[in-house]
Amino acid sequence: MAEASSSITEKFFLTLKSSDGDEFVLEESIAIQSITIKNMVEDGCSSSVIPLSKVDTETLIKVIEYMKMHSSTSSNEEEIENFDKKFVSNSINTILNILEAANFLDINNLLELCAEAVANRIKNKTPEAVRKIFNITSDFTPEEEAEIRNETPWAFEGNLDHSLD
Amino acid sequence: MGTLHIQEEVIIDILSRLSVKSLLRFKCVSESWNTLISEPYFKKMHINIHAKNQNSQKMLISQMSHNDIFFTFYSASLSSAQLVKDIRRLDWPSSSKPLDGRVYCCCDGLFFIGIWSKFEEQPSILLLWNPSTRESIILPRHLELLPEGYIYGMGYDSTSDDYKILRIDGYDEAPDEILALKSASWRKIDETSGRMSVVTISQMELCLAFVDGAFHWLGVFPRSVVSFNISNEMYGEIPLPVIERTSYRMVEEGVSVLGGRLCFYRAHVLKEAQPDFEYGL
Repeated sequence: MAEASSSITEKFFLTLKSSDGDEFVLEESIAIQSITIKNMVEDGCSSSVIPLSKVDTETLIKVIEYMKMHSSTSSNEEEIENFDKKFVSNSINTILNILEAANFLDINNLLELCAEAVANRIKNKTPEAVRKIFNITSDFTPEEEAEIRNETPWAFEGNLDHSLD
Repeated sequence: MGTLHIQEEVIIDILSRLSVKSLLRFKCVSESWNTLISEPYFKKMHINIHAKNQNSQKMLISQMSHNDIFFTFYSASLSSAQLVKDIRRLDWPSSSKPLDGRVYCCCDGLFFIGIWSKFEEQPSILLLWNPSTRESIILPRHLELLPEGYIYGMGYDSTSDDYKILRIDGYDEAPDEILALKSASWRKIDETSGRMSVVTISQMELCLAFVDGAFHWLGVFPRSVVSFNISNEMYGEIPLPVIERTSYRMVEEGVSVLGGRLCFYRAHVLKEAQPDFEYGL
């Protein structure tokens, strides 16, 4: 997009570095949707590259995509809504990674969107599927697990979802 | 996928959005999920989040069945999109099939109900029932049994972190009785006689209005709104303005909760109740 040279001089840019070592240049006004980055800017630690050791390249690209869409004055409500809908149709593993990043970067809207999406995706799943998605090893003995199941057998009834996405 | 390690605060954020049924199922995911879901702190957070969420709100419908002589409760979602499809029959809280049932009051998804297994004046048992978890506990019998004309209120007391149920006698003869769930017995309130106003309970009233940590009802002589603070168990009175009678038609008056505030309503009988003005506290 062509921009008037006068406005470019007024813009500040930040460089974000992913855990894989890739660097991304982003307008400061867009990046400060992250409260973590905003605090760094205010503390004057943003003159050089900002290292995001907890966010890998694939996830950072998604997060930047989201921040660009949500800060742009040209995108209208409908565009944002469609973007969000498409955004949460990513694989559940990708959304969980974004969720972790949103928590670390403190981007409240993104956190809300992803937490709601994950909750919606797992609500009808079996405990076994949830364990695999969240990479959890059960620490219950078969007897202990049976006991919990017997407390509320009706919670295990119905058409449960075994899929991992 | 192997390196994924989700922080507990993120897990809490996700789980707090789930329904009770999903949460009960996910208790067997792991020891730490079981602990987290069972934590009182988490339960309170879950209640608070879903109380504000329109899609989580449900209403309880009680109905005499056409097919058999027994009484049934149904739950239906309050959001209009799901109103018709989400109706489901609820399991009975007790093993015996009841002949009749009555919901006295509810608070935070807990229902205080009376159940009749015989056709007699007094309910056979009093229950506190959580339809979402399908748990119920039998509550103790009253110290003094009353014929019709009594009314209940239930509320949460943050001071003692307990739910309390108050019964007042519409005929003002028996002392008020209160039950704190943790104590598991009814207690007479000695100061009942110290109340200035006489109780007047409108027939439209199903339960006592609970606002800002106090139950409210209408009193006469002097005309006022009587309050009962759930924490310090003290009565209070708010004077009401005298409204000139414009006709000799019967009027129905009472207090209720409207949008989280206490409201006073006054309506001509046979006409729909319309709140005349809000009474902010």
